[in-house]
Amino acid sequence: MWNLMKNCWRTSGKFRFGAVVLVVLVGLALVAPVIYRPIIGNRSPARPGQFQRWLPPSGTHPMGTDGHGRDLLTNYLAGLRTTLYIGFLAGVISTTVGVSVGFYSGYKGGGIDAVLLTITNMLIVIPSYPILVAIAMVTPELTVATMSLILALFAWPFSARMIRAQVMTMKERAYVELAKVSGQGDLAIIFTEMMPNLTPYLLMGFAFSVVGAMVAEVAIEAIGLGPSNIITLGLMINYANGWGVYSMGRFEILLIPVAVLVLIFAAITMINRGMEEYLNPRLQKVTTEK
Amino acid sequence: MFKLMRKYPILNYYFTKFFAYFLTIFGALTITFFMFRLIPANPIENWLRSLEAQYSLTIDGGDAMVNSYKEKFGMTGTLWQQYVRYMYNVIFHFDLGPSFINFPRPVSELLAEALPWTMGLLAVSISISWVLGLLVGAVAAWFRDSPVSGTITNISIALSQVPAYLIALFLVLFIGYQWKLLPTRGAFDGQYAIGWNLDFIRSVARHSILPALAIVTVSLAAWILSTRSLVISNLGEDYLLYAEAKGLKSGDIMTKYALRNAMLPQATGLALTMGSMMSGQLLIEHMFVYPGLGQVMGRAIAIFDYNAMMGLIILSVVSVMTASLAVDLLLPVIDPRIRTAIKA
Amino acid sequence: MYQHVDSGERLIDIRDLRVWYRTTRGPAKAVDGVNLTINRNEVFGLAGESGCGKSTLAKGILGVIKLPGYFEGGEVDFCRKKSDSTLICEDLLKMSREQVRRMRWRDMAYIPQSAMNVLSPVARIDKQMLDGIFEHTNWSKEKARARMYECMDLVGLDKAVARMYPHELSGGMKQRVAIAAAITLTPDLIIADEPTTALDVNVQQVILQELKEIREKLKLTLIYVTHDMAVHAEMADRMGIMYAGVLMEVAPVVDTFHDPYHPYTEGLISSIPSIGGGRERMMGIPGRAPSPLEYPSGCRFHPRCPKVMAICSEEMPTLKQVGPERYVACHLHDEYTFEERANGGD
Ligand SMILES: Nc1ncnc2c1ncn2[C@@H]1O[C@H](COP(=O)(O)OP(=O)(O)OP(=O)(O)O)[C@@H](O)[C@H]1O
Ligand SMILES: [Mg+2]
Repeated sequence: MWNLMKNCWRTSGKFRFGAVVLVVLVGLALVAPVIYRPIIGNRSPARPGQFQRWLPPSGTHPMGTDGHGRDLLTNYLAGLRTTLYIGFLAGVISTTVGVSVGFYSGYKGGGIDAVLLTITNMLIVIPSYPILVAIAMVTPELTVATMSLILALFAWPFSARMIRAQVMTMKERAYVELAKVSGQGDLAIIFTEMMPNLTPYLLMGFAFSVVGAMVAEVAIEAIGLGPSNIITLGLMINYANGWGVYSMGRFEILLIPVAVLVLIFAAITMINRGMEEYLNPRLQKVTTEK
Repeated sequence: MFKLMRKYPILNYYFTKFFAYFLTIFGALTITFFMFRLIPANPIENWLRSLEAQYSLTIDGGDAMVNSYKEKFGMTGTLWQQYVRYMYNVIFHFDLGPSFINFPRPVSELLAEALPWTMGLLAVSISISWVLGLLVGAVAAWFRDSPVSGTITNISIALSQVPAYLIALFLVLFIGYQWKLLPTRGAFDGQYAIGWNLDFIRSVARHSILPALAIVTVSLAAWILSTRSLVISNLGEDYLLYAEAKGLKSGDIMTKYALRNAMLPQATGLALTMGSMMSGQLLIEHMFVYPGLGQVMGRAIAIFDYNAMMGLIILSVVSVMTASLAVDLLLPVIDPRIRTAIKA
Repeated sequence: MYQHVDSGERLIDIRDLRVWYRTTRGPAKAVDGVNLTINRNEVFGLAGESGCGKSTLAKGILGVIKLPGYFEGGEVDFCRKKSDSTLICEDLLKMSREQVRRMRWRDMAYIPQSAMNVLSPVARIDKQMLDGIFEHTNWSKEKARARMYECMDLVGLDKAVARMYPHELSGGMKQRVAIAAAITLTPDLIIADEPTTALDVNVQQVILQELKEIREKLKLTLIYVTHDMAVHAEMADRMGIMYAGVLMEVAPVVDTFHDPYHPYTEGLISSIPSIGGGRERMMGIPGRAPSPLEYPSGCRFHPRCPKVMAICSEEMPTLKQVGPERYVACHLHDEYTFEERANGGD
């Protein structure tokens, strides 16, 4: 996996761009508590009424304060943290489920495969958005973990379909057949023979799930249908809209979370594309400049 | 029947596709139905409370009242009975039940009213982004070594996964509020009479620009990318060189060889996005308070209107599946390779 | 425009042709100063290792060079019989694109390297054969169709093939389609670029035979490109040996095989693979062919040449006539002039 990353880094400018942006953003999210400290001490960034409302940017509040009397910078950072975390968690859950189903389905083939594939296809065509919102609305005390779980519910079929296709093609190849003949068990075959070759697809599936989960999450939050007790970038957008920051001339309050989200999506897509190009040189010839 | 199918493999192919079509729709509806019923919400109580709040009155009658409404909404009996009744009504009477929004109007009426707005917006934005994407993609492919093309490509890659609603926020902010160029709410100005008069049509057009632009920006990126790589891989194709060696005119080579081969996947893609973009557009409509399905969805979600939400999902599932069925049925007609594959 | 009346038997006269490819590491000089005359009614075999520029030269003659490829310079005179049976020679590179386009297929046709990929997968064979005919004639549908069937018959294709799609045909059949399409307008010149490399040995033999018969019957000039020396021995009247973008030796096929002048030609012959023997590196010549991005100084073959001399790395030999019908670019033959050899040579 490390080698894969290194090769992608070497061959693709897109991968480098995406990786740098993502590492910076994740780094910011990780060190966020350190940045909070001088501004809000040990309090939660989300607690309302900590400061005077609508303070302009200053030394103590680099981005000013919001309509609830909270420091904006710390709230952005907190939002970035949760948004990335939810995306990551939902990505892990849906990739795990998707990969397991895809693997089993593709490897077993036959009737089991047909049934699983049909169910996967059924789930894929259901527009998840209304259902996600409905579930989010009736779930009391929505935590980051339950939110991720709900988002993963509709994200896994995509990885499942992708992994299944890959397993189907790999199954044809001789080396798996060989392992079968030599008497190893099914699971042993999967892990020793197929896993190394599937890793890049796994990573791409993961990246897609993360993007999918975050898109859905922000969509729910941004129009105010999500839980209001977790600060995310989507919630920041919703607040900004609600405060009418346009009329106050404080565009940046809305612009910053939107821009950060666009950057996250762009970075992950670039990384994915870079990886795809590395794996498929024909694509590379087509899409990169000579 | 089976004999016939063995004799004509194409029949077998069509039959399989139709079977999968109905099975998937049926399955998707079943899953959705149970998901909604399993969500522990109490829409009728909620609805009555909200009515009370709205008209500041007290609705008495307690359980009897609730039960009579439960019956109207098909929520009596065991879950299984409810399911059978619901599916029966949907499949045989196209009856989606009454809605909480504007009770007792049936959901189907609600959807029928909103559908033209959604379809209009969708048709406009999809055609714009498809045509523009094909053009820009082809040009980007043609000048693929120029830095401009590289920039366009990279921007498109970056934008291709960004959800349209984030773009919409930018547009509302700058074009709508900052520069006040275009309206950001609704589908037309109230002061004009609804109908085929110029003022009204102009107003509709002006209102549709921002939501359409938001959708176009993102889907354009995707079309640019796919067209660009298709055309580039086609430019390198030997049959173009061969056509040139035959002394055919460049126009003929472009239309009869390059485009013919690149259009096939693009047309397939067009049909598929037609279906799936509808659900992606719901949020945009909600944001722009556009009177399409998106707004129905917003209102339905807010008061937990089972029937309306189910109706919306059914509409979306059926349109996605129908689009992909159409593609499946048309492919063997357009692409001879698939025709042969089926025969074999 | 360059134009002159010619009475001889020349069909094509190439002078100092250069076709380069633009790359980030500078130009790839795939064809870099080729001088060659093709006579009417001959089979000219173009040989050389993979990557030496054979296909680029073939495309250059046809004028179908596309970016990143471009003409760096040179002349390609193509001689056509006018109605009053005088010969007019015109430089294809100086003619307008439209003029050259009109000449293609009618005056010079092309049988591509990979017939597998040249036929559009979504159009029927007849459509793809007929469009060339209609583009250059005003024949009726019936006449064009009759001609198409005639040509298909010449290469042993059944009429039914016309209604088929490329993917329904075998490799050999597709190659026959390409040959049939090339002869529909009885052009003066056909350029065949490795028309049989993708086929298995038996089919290759059959198609070669057919091509040979057709050529004799129709009295076409054929430029046959392949790295396979055994095929040249069977097909060609005269041969050109190409190396690193230039011609090293041009001679009648018998002389090429029995008395090669250039050490590179010797190397090629000593390493003849059997027909269809693939593209493995030649055993007779050690080392690798140079990259067209960076050719060696002096004679481009000198780093691999068994008979290398001091002058070879300094001065590039030009292709000069050293006998009737014989041309070579090698310092070993510097002291000979055509007259000397003609008077008392070997
Ligand atoms: N599009 C291109 N861009 C850059 N260089 C190219 C391009 N096409 C060909 N070349 C270079 O030009 C040289 C000649 O190529 P060409 O196809 O003419 O060789 P060839 O003699 O026909 O080889 P083969 O026997 O493999 O067909 C090669 O070294 C190749 O690397
Ligand atoms: Mg070649």
